[in-house]
Amino acid sequence: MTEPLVEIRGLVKHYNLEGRDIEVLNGVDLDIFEGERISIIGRSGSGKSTFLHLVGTLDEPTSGTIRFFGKNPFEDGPAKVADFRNRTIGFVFQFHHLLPEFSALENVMMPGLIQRMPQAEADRKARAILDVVGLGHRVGHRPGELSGGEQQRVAIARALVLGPKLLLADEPTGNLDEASAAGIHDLLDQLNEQTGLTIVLVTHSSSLSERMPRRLVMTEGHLEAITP
Amino acid sequence: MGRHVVIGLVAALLALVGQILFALALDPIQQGIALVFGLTWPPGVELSGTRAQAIGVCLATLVAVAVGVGLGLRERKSPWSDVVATAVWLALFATIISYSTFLTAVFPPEALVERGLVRAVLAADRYLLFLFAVGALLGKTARARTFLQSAGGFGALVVLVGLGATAARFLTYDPAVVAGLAVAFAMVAALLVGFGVAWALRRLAFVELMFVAVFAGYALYLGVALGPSAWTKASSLPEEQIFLALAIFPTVTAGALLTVGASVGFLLNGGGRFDPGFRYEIDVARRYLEARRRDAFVGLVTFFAVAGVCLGVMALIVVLSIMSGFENDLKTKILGAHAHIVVGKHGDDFSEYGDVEGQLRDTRGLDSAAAFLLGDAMVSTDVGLSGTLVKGIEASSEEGTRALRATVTKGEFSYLEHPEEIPGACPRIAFPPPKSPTSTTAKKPGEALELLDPAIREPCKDRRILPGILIGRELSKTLRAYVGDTVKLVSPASEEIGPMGPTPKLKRFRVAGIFYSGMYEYDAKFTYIDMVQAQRFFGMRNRVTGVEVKVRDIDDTSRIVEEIKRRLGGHPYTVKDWRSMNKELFSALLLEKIAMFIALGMIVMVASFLIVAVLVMIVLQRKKEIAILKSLGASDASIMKIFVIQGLILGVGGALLGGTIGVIVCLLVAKFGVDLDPRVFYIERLPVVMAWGEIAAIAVCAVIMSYLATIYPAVTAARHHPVEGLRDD
Repeated sequence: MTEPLVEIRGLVKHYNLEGRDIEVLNGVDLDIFEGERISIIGRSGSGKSTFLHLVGTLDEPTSGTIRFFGKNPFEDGPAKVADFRNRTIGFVFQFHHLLPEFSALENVMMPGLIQRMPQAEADRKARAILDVVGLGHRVGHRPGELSGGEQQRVAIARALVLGPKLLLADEPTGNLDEASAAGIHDLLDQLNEQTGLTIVLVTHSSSLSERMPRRLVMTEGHLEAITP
Repeated sequence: MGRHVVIGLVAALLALVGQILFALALDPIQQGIALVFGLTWPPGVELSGTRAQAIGVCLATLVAVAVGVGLGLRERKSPWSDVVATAVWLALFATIISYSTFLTAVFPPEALVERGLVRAVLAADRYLLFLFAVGALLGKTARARTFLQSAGGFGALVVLVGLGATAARFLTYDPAVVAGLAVAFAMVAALLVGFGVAWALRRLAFVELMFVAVFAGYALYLGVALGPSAWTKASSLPEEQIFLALAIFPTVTAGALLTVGASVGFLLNGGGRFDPGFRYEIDVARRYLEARRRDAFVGLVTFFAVAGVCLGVMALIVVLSIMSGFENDLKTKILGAHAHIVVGKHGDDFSEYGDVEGQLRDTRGLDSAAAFLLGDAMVSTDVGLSGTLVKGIEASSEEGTRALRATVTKGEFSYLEHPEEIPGACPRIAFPPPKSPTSTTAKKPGEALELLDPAIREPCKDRRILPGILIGRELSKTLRAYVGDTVKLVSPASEEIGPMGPTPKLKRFRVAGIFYSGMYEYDAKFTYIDMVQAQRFFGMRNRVTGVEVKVRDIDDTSRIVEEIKRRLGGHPYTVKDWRSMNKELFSALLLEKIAMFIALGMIVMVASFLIVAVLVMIVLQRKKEIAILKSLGASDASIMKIFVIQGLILGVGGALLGGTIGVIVCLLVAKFGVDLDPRVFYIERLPVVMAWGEIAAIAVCAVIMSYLATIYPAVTAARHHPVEGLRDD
């Protein structure tokens, strides 16, 4: 059997909120293989976003391990984690989270610039991926000048510009009308087919989750598979 | 509460016992120092009250900080109130112990006063509260291992400074240069240590570095307090001021430089790899600053921050340039009218001045060497009377009197040598005969008289030719004496004995010229007469006070002093340069300048706090964007760079603007001038001298201050947890 892209074992996360200890994740085990499309559904506050943040190395688990190709990125100290995140993981959030002062192109160039890629190369890659998401003609627009669907496409382009192994999407269509949402999902499917991108998608919508080959549900800090 | 009482009491007692033991062990310690550094015993330490107090402060500081750190390390999670409570108790006990009478029972009061111990103990309590609290606060977050590493860095610092000073000692003998180089080395070393620690640890290690700063600063303080008295006596500042300065500046400077070094080290290597780039960070910083125009309040505070830095830098440049102008004016006047180096002799038998002059004459860089005689006298006319310093000079020496010649505004300097030519001395000059070869016979005054109209000749007949004297403009006003008038010099020191004891010696002189040196004191006090006259008047026969030396390049003085000392072979000759002769004056000016620098620097400091405020507001507003950038892979160092750059844009912008305006103001004042009332200021226009080094130092200080201002907000931004920023929606 091939080695999983992400191997999650006994993942526990507690928060300390004003002196009270809140248990958000309570021992999650999961293997994510390359090229997989996984959906996670669950009620608000069930720990979906926290799980995504942990997998995306934005937060450290209270206990348990997350290994990427058998390696724990936190082992090298916090300084190297940022670099790892930049090269390996792409994020798409419910609210597009674009930088409002920068144009679509500049937003998409940002991960490359953070990696200290030459300006011209970052520009070329950004334009190419913006073409893929169908926004090649709106590169100079700022987020405020784009529609909700377009903003989310820019966010996807930004997440994918450096060719990450794993795309983590936190309710990417939660704020969109149905047509735009369907467009985004088609785009994700298409990217998965063309590039073998691994996608983990958190959503409220069971209809959208049904489009994914592997479906999980988060309840009370536990992750369970939904058998079709 | 009980625990705090015990800790406070123990700490206060520790400080006290430490001080007592130290005071008792001072002699062996000094002997040890003398042995290690090869100083001649005794090293000349006079244990003054000030010195003992300084030692007391050092010990109290070190104990307070150490106890504070210990407490902080032990009770990491204890709330602030615990620390404060203990500090209050500590201060209370220290005060009680200081003032209690039990000390006097153990040690006789005289002995205590002798040792300066009482003052040492009294000094301690004032500092304990503050320092203890700082120690405790820092100790709460310190890591013992990092502290040891930083202390290692401190050791390296000491070695570097020592090497630097040694190297400097080999390069030059000028103690001022050696001291300057040692300070420069220390500053560079502090920067390097901070840089190295942050680079290696990939974190700022601020707390540990502050400990290093405190220990480094107070080690220096203690070193000076224990060192030979010559160290403090080399400066003309009083001991109190030196020790006050030592208690503050080394620690603050070391702290600032270590922080700067550490932050630079972190910015370059904090991301886990060497990353000197900051291109996208500049872009983000710029966009944030531009975007703020939409936020009126932040915009207003930003304006005040930039305006504050600008105003502070401008004020510093203008004020210091004017002070430099006054200083320069004073220096020119002093150096113009007086010797650059004076060679004197112990005792009053300096008669071999001709030989000494001869020995000095071919010294490299020497302009002139001329003997002089100085004596006190009273000078009077029918209407005025004043004390004066009479200086006998070799009027025939062309180069030795060049500067003085230039200051004579009325009359002629040459009249000193040829008093018969003074107008009023003989009418020949008042009515000069035609300068034809046939008139050469009229050279002698007696003959000249015969040529004159009897109406003029008669009143002149009884006018004897009197020796000439040069008087200053102010003295001329006081005495109402002008060129050609006679004045009486009265010397209290006389060899003539009359019926009533020694009679003062009186001699009439004729005013040969009036000089204007521009220094009120000189113009009101000095009079010049020919050397022969002076020797006769003061009964000095062939003796002089000393030999005045002028040098070509004023900055070369210390080398020439050494050269002259070598040539004359020391005792009984003394060699002093203008700097040491006017030490009090110039050090007062320097002190004034430093005080001004600090006072006006406060403006920049307040502006820096505004920069802190602006950046903190931006950090709070941009929490989400910080989280986004982090989710895209931006490192903490990279986020820090964004905010450091923003602060630097404000600080550098303000400094550049202020610097430009300041320089323009100075140039305008220099060009168009601001008239002063010469009767009050003894100078006609506001003098401005722009020392570019000073201006550069002001700009660098302003930029460093604004850089330091960015560190707290930038570190706060860098430490923001990305998840919190993302969750805020």
